[in-house]
Amino acid sequence: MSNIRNSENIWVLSGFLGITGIVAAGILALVSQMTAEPIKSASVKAELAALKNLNLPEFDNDMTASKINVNGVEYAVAKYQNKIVGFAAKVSENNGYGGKIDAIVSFDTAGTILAVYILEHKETPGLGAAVCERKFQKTIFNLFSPVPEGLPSNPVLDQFHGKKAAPGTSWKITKDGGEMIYRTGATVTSRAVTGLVNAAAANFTAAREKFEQEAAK
Amino acid sequence: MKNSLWQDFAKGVWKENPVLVLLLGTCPTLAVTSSASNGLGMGLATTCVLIGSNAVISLIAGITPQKIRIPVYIVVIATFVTVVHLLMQAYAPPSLCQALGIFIPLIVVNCIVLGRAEAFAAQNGFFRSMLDGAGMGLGFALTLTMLGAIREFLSSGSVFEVKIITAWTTDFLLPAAAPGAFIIVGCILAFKNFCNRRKAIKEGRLYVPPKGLDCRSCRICK
Repeated sequence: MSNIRNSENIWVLSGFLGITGIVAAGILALVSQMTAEPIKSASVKAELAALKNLNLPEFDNDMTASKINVNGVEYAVAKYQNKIVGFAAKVSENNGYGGKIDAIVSFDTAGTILAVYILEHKETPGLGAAVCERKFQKTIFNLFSPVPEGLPSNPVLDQFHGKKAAPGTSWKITKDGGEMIYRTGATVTSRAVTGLVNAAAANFTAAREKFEQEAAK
Repeated sequence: MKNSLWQDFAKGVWKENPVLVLLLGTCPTLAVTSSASNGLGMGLATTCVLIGSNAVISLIAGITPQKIRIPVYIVVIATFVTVVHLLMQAYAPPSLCQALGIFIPLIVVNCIVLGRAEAFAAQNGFFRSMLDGAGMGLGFALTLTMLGAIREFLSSGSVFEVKIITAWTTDFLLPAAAPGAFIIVGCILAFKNFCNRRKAIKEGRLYVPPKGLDCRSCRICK
């Protein structure tokens, strides 16, 4: 054994490293195959949890399975007894303070915004993140009480709820002469979120015709 | 003289704590400890990697050619890190995976793991190496959790996302941001050295800082 340990023969060295690599690759292949299924189901589960929290009317189909792509935006369609009752549009915006913000905006069939839900963001904790996050704050006094159902509130995101997407509408924050309140210290994030909803609304108004054709089928 | 098995395990927690004494793995220490749960998650992931890599390296160290031992160790460590990463994606809560993000794959280059492989596992047996990995990992996890809890509490009055002081509504951003991490780590290091010094004086010895931290043994600025 000691002659392997002190070997300087290039074939011994490369052979040893090669064997190590092959063994490692074998182990990884095995683990990757074993975890492929749980990883997939975990991501589906996370998506389902997000879709449940969108204030959509009651639906009975599998929304993750019924997806339509319109002009680069992915819509998950909610159906109740085979009739379309709502849409969830997955949109993203690159003008956040920390880069990309991914969100889901849900609409009913008339184009009213039901909920704005941020999936992923990299905003500053406490400032921009407070604009993006919806979270129930647990305190030491309600530590063991169950988490309340439904969508946690967020003053900046909630003001879009009930607004109607129509051709030409574009919302702005009050600083830019609009009507949407924003969070002091997080102007850039508030602007990005408003832009995100605008983009979703514009895409939705353009996409509605396509949905109507789809529904007629 | 060899340490007892208990000493092999316990030294990582306080006497040779990887963050507070060896000052290794500072990057994940500062970067992911914005909350207690992130610190705990990172610490546990690193512990798993440390135990596994120490165990395997103690077994193969005897037959590994000296010339290529570092690449071989890195392959072993990278394998364990990838396994842990895959398992976390499959079974850990998605919010934790998202928060730790890039720092899980980066455990590969965490100095603690390679440092223990070289300094301990390569010269000791299977069982002792696993104990060393577990102790070092536990020390790392405890330090990260403590740091995360302190930072989270100072910035929003909550620990493990549970508000302790309910009246605290506006977040204080300094401890949650990177400069706050440096300040708090500095305070903890000062406290650790203060404890060491007091203990030494009580025992009537002269306090000598660990060699790597002592200015007199450093040759960088001379």
